[in-house]
Amino acid sequence: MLEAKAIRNAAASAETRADGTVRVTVRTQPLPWMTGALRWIIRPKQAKPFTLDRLGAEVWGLCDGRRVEEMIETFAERHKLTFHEARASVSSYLRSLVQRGIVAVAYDNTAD
Amino acid sequence: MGVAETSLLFLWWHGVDMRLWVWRHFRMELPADWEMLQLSRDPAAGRCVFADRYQYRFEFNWRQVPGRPDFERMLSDYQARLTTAGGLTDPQPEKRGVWRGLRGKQGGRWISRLGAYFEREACLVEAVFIWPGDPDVALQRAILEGMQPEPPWGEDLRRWRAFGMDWLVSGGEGPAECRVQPASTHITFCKGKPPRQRETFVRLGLVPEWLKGTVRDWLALQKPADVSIRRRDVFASAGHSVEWVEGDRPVRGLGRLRGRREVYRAAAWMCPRDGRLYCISVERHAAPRAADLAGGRLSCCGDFPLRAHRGL
Repeated sequence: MLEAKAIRNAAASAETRADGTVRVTVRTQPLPWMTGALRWIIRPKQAKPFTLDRLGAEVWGLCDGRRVEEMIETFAERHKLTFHEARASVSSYLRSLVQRGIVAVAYDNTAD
Repeated sequence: MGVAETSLLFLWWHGVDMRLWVWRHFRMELPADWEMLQLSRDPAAGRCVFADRYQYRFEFNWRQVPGRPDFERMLSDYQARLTTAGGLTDPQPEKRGVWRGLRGKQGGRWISRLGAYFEREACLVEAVFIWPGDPDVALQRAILEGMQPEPPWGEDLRRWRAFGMDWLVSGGEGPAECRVQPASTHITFCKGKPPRQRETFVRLGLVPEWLKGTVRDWLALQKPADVSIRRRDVFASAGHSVEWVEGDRPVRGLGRLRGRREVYRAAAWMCPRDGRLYCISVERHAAPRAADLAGGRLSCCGDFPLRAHRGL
């Protein structure tokens, strides 16, 4: 996991608010069977918004393609945490961001 | 200069930063990036496991035994068991001071297991090193030489040091409760059954994220529901501004009819060095003065060292 890289979903747009939280909106793909009249009647949402608290927003900000280990080091340094403390926080935030489809975690197989 | 000091000097010279841990009345100096990820509270037998950021590195196992064990026999039994059931290969005996053990390969990794018996503590201790590559003999030597029983402070106080806190507890019992989460550590010691005395040590991180009021407000909220606060004050020491409160509550049982009350004292402060919030609370009939709790019983950094005097 430490070797992996966290990458933001290119289809997500983020808006930073004054209180430090971030509202991330992800465009959703319509279900394949939802076409024509059905789509006109149901009108599925074309985007899903998520609000990230300040720490979540910070983790989101760190998902710029750097390695997860570097993200944890940066988070630990900013908040005066140990590596293990920061790892638990960053991993749990990353997990929730991945579950929401905002971020993807990629392993670089071409390394070495 | 002693042998342990020579080893520590060697590690310092090679850039290995060491950190002191004191758990179950044993002190050990381990590399600063090793964290305790598993712990046992039972003073009779238990295990603490330390890891660096990549893997488990060190185990500290203990067992109280009635007398000095037959080490040679114990070692040969241990080696036989590890070789047959544990998949240990290439076992080599090891000896370092009072420590006896063996090193071997298990699951493709070098693992060193060494044990020692400490008479005063009547305790058998095992140190297990899990090496990511070849064994680091200098590091192993420095750690083993530094692993010693931590003597009592004064008549009744025992020192513990873990998770960024250094504290003194009255009595030799292990923690009754340990809640260790990222940036949040609560450790409680109780004496007697039912508990006549309760001491709680707290260290909290990420403070700007959750502390919306003052430390004083936060401390006031920590008191048990039935405690009435009688006095509160603040004092400054070594750059730390310490809030403290004193209160009491009716005792349980017959003592309540006689109007007896139990003392509650607590202190809390922010450490300017690490930005964390520290809190100690003591509930008992004859608790130390609240002003003596901070630093006296719980220390956050070298600016505010433990001191077991001043009426403790």
